[in-house]
Amino acid sequence: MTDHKMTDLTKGYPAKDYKVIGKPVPLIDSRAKVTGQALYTDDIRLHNPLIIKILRAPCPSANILSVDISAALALSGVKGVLTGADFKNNFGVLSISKDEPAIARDMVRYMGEPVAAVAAENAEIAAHALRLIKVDYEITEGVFNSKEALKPTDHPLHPELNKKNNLHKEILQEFGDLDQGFSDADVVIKKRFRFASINHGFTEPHATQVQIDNKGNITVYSATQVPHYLHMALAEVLEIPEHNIRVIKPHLGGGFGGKSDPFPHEMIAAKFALDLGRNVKIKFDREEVFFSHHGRHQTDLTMKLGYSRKKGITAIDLDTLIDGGAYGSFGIVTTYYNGVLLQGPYKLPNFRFHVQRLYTNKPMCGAMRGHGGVNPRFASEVLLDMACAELDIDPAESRLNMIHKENTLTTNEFRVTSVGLHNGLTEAIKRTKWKEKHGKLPFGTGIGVACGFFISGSALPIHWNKLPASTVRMTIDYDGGVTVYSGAADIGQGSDTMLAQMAAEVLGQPLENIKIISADTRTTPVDLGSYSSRVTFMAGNASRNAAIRMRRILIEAACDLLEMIPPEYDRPDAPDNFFRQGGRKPDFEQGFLGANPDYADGFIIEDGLIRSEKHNASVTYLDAVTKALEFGGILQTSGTYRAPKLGGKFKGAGAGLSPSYSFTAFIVEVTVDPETGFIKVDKATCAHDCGFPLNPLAVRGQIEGCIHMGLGQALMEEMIYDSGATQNPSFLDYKIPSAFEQPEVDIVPAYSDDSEGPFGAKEAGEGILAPVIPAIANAVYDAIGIRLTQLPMRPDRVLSALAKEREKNQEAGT
Amino acid sequence: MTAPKKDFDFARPKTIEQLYNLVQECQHEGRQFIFSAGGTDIMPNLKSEILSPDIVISLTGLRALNNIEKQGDHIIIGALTSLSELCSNNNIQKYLPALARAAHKVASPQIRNRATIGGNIMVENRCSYINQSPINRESHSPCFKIGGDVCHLVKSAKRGDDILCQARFVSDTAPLLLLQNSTVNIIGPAGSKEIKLADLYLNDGIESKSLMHGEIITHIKVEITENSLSHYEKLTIRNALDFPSLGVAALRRGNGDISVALTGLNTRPGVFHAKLENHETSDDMIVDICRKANDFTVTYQQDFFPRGYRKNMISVFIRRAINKILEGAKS
Repeated sequence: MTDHKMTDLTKGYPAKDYKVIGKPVPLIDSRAKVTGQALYTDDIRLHNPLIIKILRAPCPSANILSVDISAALALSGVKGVLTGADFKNNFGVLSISKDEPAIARDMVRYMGEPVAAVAAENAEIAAHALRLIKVDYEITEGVFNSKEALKPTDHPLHPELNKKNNLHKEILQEFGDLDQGFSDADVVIKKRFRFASINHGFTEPHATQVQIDNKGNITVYSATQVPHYLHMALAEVLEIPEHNIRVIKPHLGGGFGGKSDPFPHEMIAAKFALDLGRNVKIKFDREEVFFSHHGRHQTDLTMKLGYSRKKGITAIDLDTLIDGGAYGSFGIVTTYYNGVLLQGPYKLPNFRFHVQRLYTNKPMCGAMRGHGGVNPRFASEVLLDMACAELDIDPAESRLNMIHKENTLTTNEFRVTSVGLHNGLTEAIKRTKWKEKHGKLPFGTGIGVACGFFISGSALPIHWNKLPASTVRMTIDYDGGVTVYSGAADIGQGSDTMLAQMAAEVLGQPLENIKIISADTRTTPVDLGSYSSRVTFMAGNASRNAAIRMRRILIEAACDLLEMIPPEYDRPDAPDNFFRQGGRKPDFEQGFLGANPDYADGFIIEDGLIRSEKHNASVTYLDAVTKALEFGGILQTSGTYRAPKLGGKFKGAGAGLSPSYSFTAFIVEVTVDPETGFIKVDKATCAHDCGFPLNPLAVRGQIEGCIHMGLGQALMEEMIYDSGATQNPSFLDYKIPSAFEQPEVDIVPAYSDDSEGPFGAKEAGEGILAPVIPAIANAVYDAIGIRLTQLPMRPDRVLSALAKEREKNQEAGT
Repeated sequence: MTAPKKDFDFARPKTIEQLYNLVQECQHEGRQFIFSAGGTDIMPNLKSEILSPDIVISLTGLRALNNIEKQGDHIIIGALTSLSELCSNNNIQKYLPALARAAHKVASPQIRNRATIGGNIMVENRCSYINQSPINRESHSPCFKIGGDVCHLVKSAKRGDDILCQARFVSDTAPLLLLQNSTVNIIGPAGSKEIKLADLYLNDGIESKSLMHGEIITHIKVEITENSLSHYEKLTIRNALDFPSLGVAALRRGNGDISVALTGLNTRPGVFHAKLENHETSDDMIVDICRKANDFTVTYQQDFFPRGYRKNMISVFIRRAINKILEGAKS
């Protein structure tokens, strides 16, 4: 059961008298969602849409000799059939790996890949038509694991790459002096770890609807985390101007990285709408979600870790194969993240990683919560625990001593600014009575610790340009209502609420007075999307900056009414008052507002009044709005965020750069049944440094969600393939934990105040996940003395490890 | 899998008479029919095109089959009683608490609200090569259970074998009912009869029940065993939703004799008895029963847990069920 006594996570922060932020606020769309009023993509009713269904390959590897669609086309009610030949351009979320066709052309690369699509007057006709399509497959030998994929072949999955095997991406980076690092160590441990591929398991299956007007403009409603990237990909694949396309993300039922790519069905739907001049609709079955996958890569890694009593971790050497499946997706980023995210939370002076991503005949893998960092984190945290056990050092204490100090550079030149892990872990140790428990609990019960580190937004965009990473437009209408326009996609994480909180706090308005229009490429400025935990930091800053500009205009208007000099200009070196000149000069310089400027201007906006503290005079908020409207008729500002220049000068230095990093500590308590091998997680104590918690309720939701998701990967989730065929594409056979498995959760504060985050905030959505899993594994060791190196830690694996351990002990005569 | 492949008609007769008029009509016209009680087992099979009938005949209109009654030393359970009702019924809780527990272990609250006891003892045998969508089944050659010529679990299997199909028996409620010497009342076009529940189950994963097509179960008659204690233990990775990787019902009679029934470990349920007088100690008796259970078990790689693990867990779960009973006997 979850403990609902909430710790005040804002305790310890300087008293800032915030009105809206730092308060536990229910998400602004939560009522609509729980009452069924919120419209998800599939709920939208377009006029008379055609229903699209996709014919999927029943084999993982084949040449397509012919596709005969004549019988399907002849069926009454069928309006169109598309095949691979109808799409010339491939796509992919990364501009460096656009390797995916909307529909397979000559080759099937995974079971479930689209080979044709039908648009018909209703679902039954569409389903019937699929059975009339005759595809002549020449079955070819498939490649089903990373090791096989490394072998030379004359028939790689992607012949266009001109490679002699199925290697997609290989990265080898080395920092510091590895040999020196290992020779400095008191103990060096090397171990192999294996990880199953896992799926995001979001609730809402993929869905897309397309509306078309009589001029050939399309509005694409889609369940996507990345409206902007989808917009670009549609234009490229369909070869129409971007301004003819409008992408809208309706309410969305979970993403976790699984909706952060453009998808074939989105291309197919848009193409049908354009070709047929009809509105169209497509929605996936759960099975199709599993076929499309894009989940966490199956991983086979060997890690060597050196640890010294005095220095902490002295070196890590990592060699990893990640099974990417049929296409690129985010894979190149995943490949880098497998290595570079080990640069925290501890000092790591000497470091090498070699990661190879392979193409195989399986559904593609991509980004998933904790992207790329989760599996290597498991290895490093388990090895660290082993090193501590060998040297008889307290593993929690040892971690405390290695954490990055604030404002330092890592070995690979990540700029680490705020760090709240030390105080967070210290608090967690105290709260859990760690020292009374670790190593002292009876056989079968145990306690374990692990820490994590994650980016708070990727500093570099996927498609290189000089535009801000996020821009927010803000308006105030004559009635005083504030509207925030942002391209950021609320995927359930609460970004709309966060944007509203920014505006409400700065403008002294109640949250109800802020309306959000988001994730609509026609009406909202560009935000790159909801991935890499970037939205709070980037769109949040943009919203805050737009609000600060708006506030200045209102204050100037108030000053005008009060016949006062506005505070900004109430100093000798002040420039002319732009406001009095009837407008504000645009200023695109990064430093215009500073990264995180204080807006203390001597005024208080509250209860509908704007009041000068100095002169104890006030005007109403609405009068100030009216005054401000006199000049231009509309009251509008923009706010932007762009990351500072970061990183080293070496190749690949951009991977993992972030304006700030989050830190997490977990202490987990478990009971292991030595007879059945079942691991029961009894309690999870989390200290997550997300900077200043803007909305402690949302932070709590993310922590509980990460624990649940981590629990799944740790104990039971696994994509099962039989020669490329997905064997468990349903929520019955793909085992996501039920509510019964969720442990009691205790959240302790991890104080940091980020100098560049909006109001000091950082990410809280992803970094929390990774340490959950090794903390469980380390607790299992504490409980029954075995090290598990393969996920999921199924009961049978626990028993096998126990049996081996007993054998070993018997041989040793103990 | 959102829509069944083939349209089907749907009928909900209100009386047994209407039901058999309809059945006769179907047989006369050559229309394929299937019965549906709660529908929770057949709906996924309709969607995944394992079943493709011309008509689904719902039994939910037969209101008289939805009751639980104590008659002397028996409890009579109407076949259409939902598992939720079964869990919360006073007579069941009083006289057959382990049955209530077993019913509560099925799936989820939503499914238990619809699923019936008749449906649960009739639940179709399952196999990871069958309970898949058409495209997944197409990716392997069709197996015996869907009219093909291969078993993906036993590659050497061929038509004419005693057991052609290894699809698993997975009812959670049957083991306990078997231990309580239950009988089932059946009606069909040829009239009504009463058979032992044990005789309902056959050896093969395809023809796994002795019920003739067109017959339905109306009631289950469960014996209340004086001075006995029973318990049900189920192995699943999650505490909800899943079919049993294995299930053990155990019953201890007043004289110390023990009976155990298994589910999930073969194409049919297994029932084993041990008499205390034949063993020196009660532990010997348990060892004996575990050995019998192991001999009975035929596991294949068709479950979340590997076959070897499931086999190893049989004794563990039998002991746990029995220990639970003994604890109950003490208190």
